[in-house]
Amino acid sequence: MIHLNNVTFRYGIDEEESGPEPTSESGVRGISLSVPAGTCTVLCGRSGSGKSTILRLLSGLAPGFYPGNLAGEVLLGGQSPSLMTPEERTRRIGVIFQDPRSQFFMNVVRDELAFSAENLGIPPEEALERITRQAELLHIAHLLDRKLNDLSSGQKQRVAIAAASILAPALLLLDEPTANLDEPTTQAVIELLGQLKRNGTTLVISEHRLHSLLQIADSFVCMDRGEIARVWTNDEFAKLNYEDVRPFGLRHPDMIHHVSGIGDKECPAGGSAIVGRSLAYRYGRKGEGFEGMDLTLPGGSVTALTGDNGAGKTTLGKILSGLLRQSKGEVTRNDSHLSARVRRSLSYLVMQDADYQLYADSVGNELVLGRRLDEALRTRAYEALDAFGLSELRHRHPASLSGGEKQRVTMAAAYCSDAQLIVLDEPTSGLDGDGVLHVAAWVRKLAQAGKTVVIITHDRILTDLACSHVVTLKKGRGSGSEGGEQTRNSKTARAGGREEGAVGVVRPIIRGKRPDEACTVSGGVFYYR
Amino acid sequence: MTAMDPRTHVIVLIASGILTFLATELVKVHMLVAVSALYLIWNGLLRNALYFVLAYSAMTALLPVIPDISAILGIILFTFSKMMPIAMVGAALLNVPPGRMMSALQRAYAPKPVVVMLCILVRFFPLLLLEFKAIRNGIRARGIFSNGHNALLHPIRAYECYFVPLIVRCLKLSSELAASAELRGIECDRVRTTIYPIGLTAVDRTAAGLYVLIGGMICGLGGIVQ
Repeated sequence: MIHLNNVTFRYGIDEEESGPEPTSESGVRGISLSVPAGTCTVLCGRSGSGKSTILRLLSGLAPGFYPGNLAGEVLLGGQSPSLMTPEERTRRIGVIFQDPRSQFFMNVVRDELAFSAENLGIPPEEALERITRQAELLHIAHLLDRKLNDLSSGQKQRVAIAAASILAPALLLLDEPTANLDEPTTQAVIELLGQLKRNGTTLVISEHRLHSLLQIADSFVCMDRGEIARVWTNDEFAKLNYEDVRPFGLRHPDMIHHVSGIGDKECPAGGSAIVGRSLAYRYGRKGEGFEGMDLTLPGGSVTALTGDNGAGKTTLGKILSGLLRQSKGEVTRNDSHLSARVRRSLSYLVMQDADYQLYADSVGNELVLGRRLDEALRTRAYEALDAFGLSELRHRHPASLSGGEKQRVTMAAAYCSDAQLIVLDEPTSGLDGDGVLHVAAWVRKLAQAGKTVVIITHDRILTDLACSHVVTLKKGRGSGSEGGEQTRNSKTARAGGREEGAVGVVRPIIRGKRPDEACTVSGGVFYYR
Repeated sequence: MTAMDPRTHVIVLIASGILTFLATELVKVHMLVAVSALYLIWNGLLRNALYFVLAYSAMTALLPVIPDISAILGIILFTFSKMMPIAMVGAALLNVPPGRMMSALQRAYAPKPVVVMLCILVRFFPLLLLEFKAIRNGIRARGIFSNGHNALLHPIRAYECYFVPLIVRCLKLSSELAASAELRGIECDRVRTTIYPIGLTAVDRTAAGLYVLIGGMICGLGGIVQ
């Protein structure tokens, strides 16, 4: 099906301003790989190791849409994808991008599924028939008349897969399809992919969360700095332990046992707890929401807020940080009431997508943005630059950084701010194994600086590595009746929990050495704007 | 209710543009707004119609007052209220599913690049609004301005905070959308089909005819009366 013969690709010079992350994309070297028809190949490796480039080569976007120099042969059923006519390419290759927001063209699910078919001039009756068939196969028949913007992330991902496979392409390329999904949804998406594979579709998937893909994958191709470092069969990969994959920066479920503790997990004394009592929130009159939520966030603790997609994790995070006002209940500290406005001034929410929170013209200014620059703040900013390894980058424009670096800047800005409560929304989605370790280390740094940290996440590795408390939100299936609070929102409280409220529980602490930081305070310019 | 062909909306849009230009008196504009509202309702857009009529009423109510406070604001408000019929028909056009619009335009021999551009434009606007919302949330979440008042005190910083991320996001989104469009066959040479029925029916002709007729009568009426 796919043959790559000694392929080398380098992004062209004129790519510099149009590429999303020019610094991290240097291309691939000497790739030889063949993928038989009807199999599933998983591309793994660090961020920026060339996984996306291989997907772009296979989809024909590189060279062409992404200009560059190609040497060697990329063959798809004996033909080079970049030389295929647009029609041929659409019929033979389906591509699913990571971010659903940027791949939907229509407002309604049915129209979205029809898009490719309409473009190829397929008669309406046939298009409608294909839509019905594909919607049934992928279990989205009930969503056909819904608006895309109203769907959950899992539903969007399923629609994206259906839309890309509507013409029954022989090859389906997926870029991190499960990055934003919780475990049950990931499982559902993987089952769909299994279904497509059984129907004879060849799958090539780039992914960081590898072990859930063991059910459908035939081989794992590990990339390192633009080259293929290892190729494992399914059985071989299943037997690998963390030490085997660590050099390649891969994620592994055993990570937590091997990485002995990132810093000190004990809460610094003195911080007073933020307490939420019987909090409730509801979107619209009878929309989704939660009620009767109790939780305690001890000062300087790191609490993971976990639970399925749609259980209200982000909503709760927004309420805690004052971006939303709870409809019932209250948030207090030292028994005094904290209004949403006060909470907002006390807190800092780091959004999942760092692009929304970077505004200044350099990393250094970003950290002090919006505040009067005095000596104390300057010192703190240097401290933050060192702690988060940003000293080298302090003059760079935030927009020119890679995704991981941007995230680091937002976390450093949180460290630098006066906020006492820091809420992180999905900080490790789309990160490789190394990235997860780094985030865990930075989170500990925030806590050591005396800040109370809440992490909204469904990444179990991060939870185990960095968090001292876990609160799990459950989405009940109860009817909308008023009496159903307990079933609808019974929180799983582990040992030591009170009543049925969500109660954070201190879990065993993995002790270990703190990564040493050479704190060299170096020159830099901050100016008040 | 059979949905009207997008081409009908285009014809009506042009007509409403000409009529608005001809309607020199306020009463005529009132009547044109009423006709456009009926057109929206005919297209099943009752909610939009109500929204526009309310907005228009509010503007007309403010018009006698505002110019005394600020002349420029008065002019802006006057222009907006006069453009209302065009905006209303435009809303009908924006509510057409993009797939349907593209194929109707292609039938009307619009060049492909124009069709693609229109489709992306229609898709990009709601996306832009969502992006703007997300950026506003991002700013609030970082606590850069403690309140709206504070943002007004630092207009340059507020501008920076909104537009720097907006531009970064737009560049990224447009590049990804374009890549996705290419992979889904937008560049195919074939004539697009659509899963919606298209074609100018009697309903279309009647609607367009009635709009032009009534609008023309409204504009002509004043002339006769005077």
